[in-house]
Amino acid sequence: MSPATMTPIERVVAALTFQTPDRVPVALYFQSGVQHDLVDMDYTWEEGLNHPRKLFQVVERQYTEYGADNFFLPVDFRVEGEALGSKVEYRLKTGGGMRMAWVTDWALKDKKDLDKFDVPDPTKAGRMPVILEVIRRLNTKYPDVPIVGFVNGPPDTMTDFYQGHFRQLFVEIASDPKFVHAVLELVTESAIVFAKAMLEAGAVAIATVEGGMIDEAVSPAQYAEFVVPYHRKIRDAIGAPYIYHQCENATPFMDMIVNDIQPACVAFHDSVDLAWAKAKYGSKVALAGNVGISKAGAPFYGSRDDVLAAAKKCLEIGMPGSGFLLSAGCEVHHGIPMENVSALKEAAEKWGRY
Amino acid sequence: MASEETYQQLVDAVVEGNPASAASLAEGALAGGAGAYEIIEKALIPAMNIVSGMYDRKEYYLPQMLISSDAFYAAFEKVKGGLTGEQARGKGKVVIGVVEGDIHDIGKNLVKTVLEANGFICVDMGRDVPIEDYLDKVAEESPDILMLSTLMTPTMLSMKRTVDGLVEDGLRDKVKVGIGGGPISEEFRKKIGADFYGDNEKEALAWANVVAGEVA
Repeated sequence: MSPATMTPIERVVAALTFQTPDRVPVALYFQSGVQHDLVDMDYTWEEGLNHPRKLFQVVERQYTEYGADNFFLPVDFRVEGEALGSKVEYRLKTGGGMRMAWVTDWALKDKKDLDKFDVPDPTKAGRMPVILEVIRRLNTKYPDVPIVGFVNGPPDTMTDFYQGHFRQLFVEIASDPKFVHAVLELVTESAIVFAKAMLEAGAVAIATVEGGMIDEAVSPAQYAEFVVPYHRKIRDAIGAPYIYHQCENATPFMDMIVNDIQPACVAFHDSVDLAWAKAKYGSKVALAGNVGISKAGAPFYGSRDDVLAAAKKCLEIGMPGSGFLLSAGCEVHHGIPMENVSALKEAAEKWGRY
Repeated sequence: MASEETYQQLVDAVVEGNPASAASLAEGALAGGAGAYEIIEKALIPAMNIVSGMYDRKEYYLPQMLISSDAFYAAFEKVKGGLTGEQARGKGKVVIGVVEGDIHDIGKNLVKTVLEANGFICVDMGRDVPIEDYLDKVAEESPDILMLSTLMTPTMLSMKRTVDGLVEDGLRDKVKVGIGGGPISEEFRKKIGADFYGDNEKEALAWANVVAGEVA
């Protein structure tokens, strides 16, 4: 195996800009998977997400332990909703043990109160200052590893801000679209100021996810109205690469994502045919995917060899012509054997060299 | 007996997802002498059949389905006092929810609205529901079906504990248990002793119809 000739940041920039990297970069999107690290370090989720030193220790393992060519944070979705005034709880029981934060008390309970809310100051609001401090620390210690800051998709953030979670978002989409747009304007501005603050602290790209506005739930027309313009606004405002992840089957939305949002990179699940996406969009936008992590029977639930075989297949399809990053397909969650995660780096080194 | 025009207005209110109008029209029909079951038969079920067809044809998605469901229940709440026990169960009674420890409820909402659109009466437990609450609700409502959903692997254990709890409480043979969600598989269904695993709302509906046929 030939040695690396590029740093992770050089490798990722080359892939995103259709230059030729030394090998395909491994792009990982760590969220609930950090629970493994929290357990190792004997930190609760609340400690891990609220203390800069502890969060730093957790996030740096994405690169040092699991072989990602990036750092990804925040590692939970609730930062923006919390910064807008919602309250979260950390559950310490059930199922897999610890739980990440989730909103139990929404900031906006009554529509008529929307005007009372302002865009939060990322240097002061909620856990945003913690995220910024960790980015600064990572940037100092690992200047050659790209830091990807994460902002939630605006509709997702709305469900952390306005009472009722996704059910109420969908009800409002059908019954009061004007109100939905008003909320989306606020949370989009919040995402922009947070993204800019993360970039100023040392992040080099911003990633986002649409986790709730999925093909089974909303129509392409609803996606065009309630998703696309807000991501385009963020993409245009941040002045840095925007990496867009669509959960579940992105296929019906790909034209809008690629042509209307125009991110630097699109990441998607294995429910999207990578060969189809590469042929149709692979010269316009970098693609990140899609070994398979979300459904029962997906390679990440199997052995390390299963992951290696699936990753090899992805590399064969995705890497010709550059513009490709090897990725799990969605977040690395805590039900996944972590030795399977580091298999991606092994695959990229074995079969992803240019 | 209400007029055809009133029934059509009630159908429209449900299809268009207007809960206030649906409740008011149902009340008006009752006041005009219509029977509770007649209102369901002549307006609410036909309305949800229309909604179901629109969903199948991809004219409606989850947002429209949810407000139609809200309108259906707004009207149903007004008339249910006049129903016999069997009539109040619709095609079958379903207790449905996301298991303890998980808050992802999009899939559960989709399954629930499709079942409602096809004549099932659903008791929605919500998300992150403690196991004991499911057991209490099954004991209280005597549903034909209990449907459990989770998107995450660690909370799959809650499904097993819920099924175990049904056995311990002597309820297991009184209710069929269906499970679903991203990481769930047929293999897992067998392992925990559930009756059904489905990958999507259509499979869930097909199975619920089979169960409804068995209990009818």
